[in-house]
Amino acid sequence: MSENDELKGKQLFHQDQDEKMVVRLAEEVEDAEGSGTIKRFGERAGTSKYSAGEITDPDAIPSDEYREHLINLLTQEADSELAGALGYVPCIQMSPTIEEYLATSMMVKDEFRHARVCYKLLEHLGEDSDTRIKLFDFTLRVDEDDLGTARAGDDKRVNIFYYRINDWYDFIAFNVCMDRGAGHQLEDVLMSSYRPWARVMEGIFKEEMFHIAHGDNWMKRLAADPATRPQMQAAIDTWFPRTMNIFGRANSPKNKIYRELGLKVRDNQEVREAFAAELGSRLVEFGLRIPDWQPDWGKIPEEAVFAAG
Amino acid sequence: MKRNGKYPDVQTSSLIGDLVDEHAEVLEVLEEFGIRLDPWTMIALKCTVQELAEYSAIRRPEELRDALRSRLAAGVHR
Repeated sequence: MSENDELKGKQLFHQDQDEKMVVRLAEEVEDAEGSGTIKRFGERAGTSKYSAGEITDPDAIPSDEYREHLINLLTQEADSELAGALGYVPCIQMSPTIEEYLATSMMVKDEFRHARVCYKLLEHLGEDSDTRIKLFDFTLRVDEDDLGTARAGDDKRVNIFYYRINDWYDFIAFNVCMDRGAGHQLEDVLMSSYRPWARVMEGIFKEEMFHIAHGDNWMKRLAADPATRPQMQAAIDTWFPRTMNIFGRANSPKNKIYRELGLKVRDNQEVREAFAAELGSRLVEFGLRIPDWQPDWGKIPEEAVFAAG
Repeated sequence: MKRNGKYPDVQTSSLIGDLVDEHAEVLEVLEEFGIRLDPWTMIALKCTVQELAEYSAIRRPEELRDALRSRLAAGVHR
């Protein structure tokens, strides 16, 4: 990192000199709430049997099938949030400045909060969260470069959370790629038929916008400096394909079921393309290259797993 | 953002929460002075009781409302 470019990372709240981050945050949340095919509670998407927000309480869950899929998706998200928080803990020590110690610590705290509220939703459904978090090693990480669809443990976290974040460039690339990818995925939950999840997700989504902004600000800074640009590009080259693999396969049968239950709104491929288009424009804006990515369907799980980064 | 075409006259007695709420750009100034506000706290303090309960996965928001009412009705005990 350049000596004369102080790495203060103090611009958490604004995107760049021309655009205020908090304004952008509000706009992105507004856009997200209006994304997909439905825009507000009470509307029904495509083949869904239920309108957005229709199921207002665990006691109103209409079928065992609905409950089973809901618990599965929520468990995936809760486990991912917890694994993500623990994966961020070592990143605090990677911080280049005292200000970044604070910023990174806040992100760790945010992720633990997300895990907590997701597990609370599961408790409302009769699940025992305190037992669950003791069953698995959520700090588990692997050193492989490419896990494919393999799972390294028996928890339900998104596969990407098994990879280790090795340095500050990795951490920023993770913010830029995975937090953004998760944001695109979780937009669907904002219009979920299960209202308690949708409402929890609105709070999570707002916080995730700050994480993405943190990553973008740092990416811009590191990409602008010829001394740090190659390492920033290398980190993007690592995390972009890993993120592209989280969205699941196009036209998957399970995605169809989730959409029928109103637990998802869009096809996996649609979400992937929205993510790639948005990130691609940011990379170009900051003078970075969009990594090549060709779908290797054997390395992509059938269904996307929800997870905030 | 400005009210009635005028920006507020900031005093040392001005409330930061009001300034942030009305003028997001003050966050940049706070950052320059090394003051970093926590996103969740910012979000939570602008929530209604209903929103805060829902964002926090409280199953029955009215229970939070009632608890707050009861606590305030009971007065301050230190």
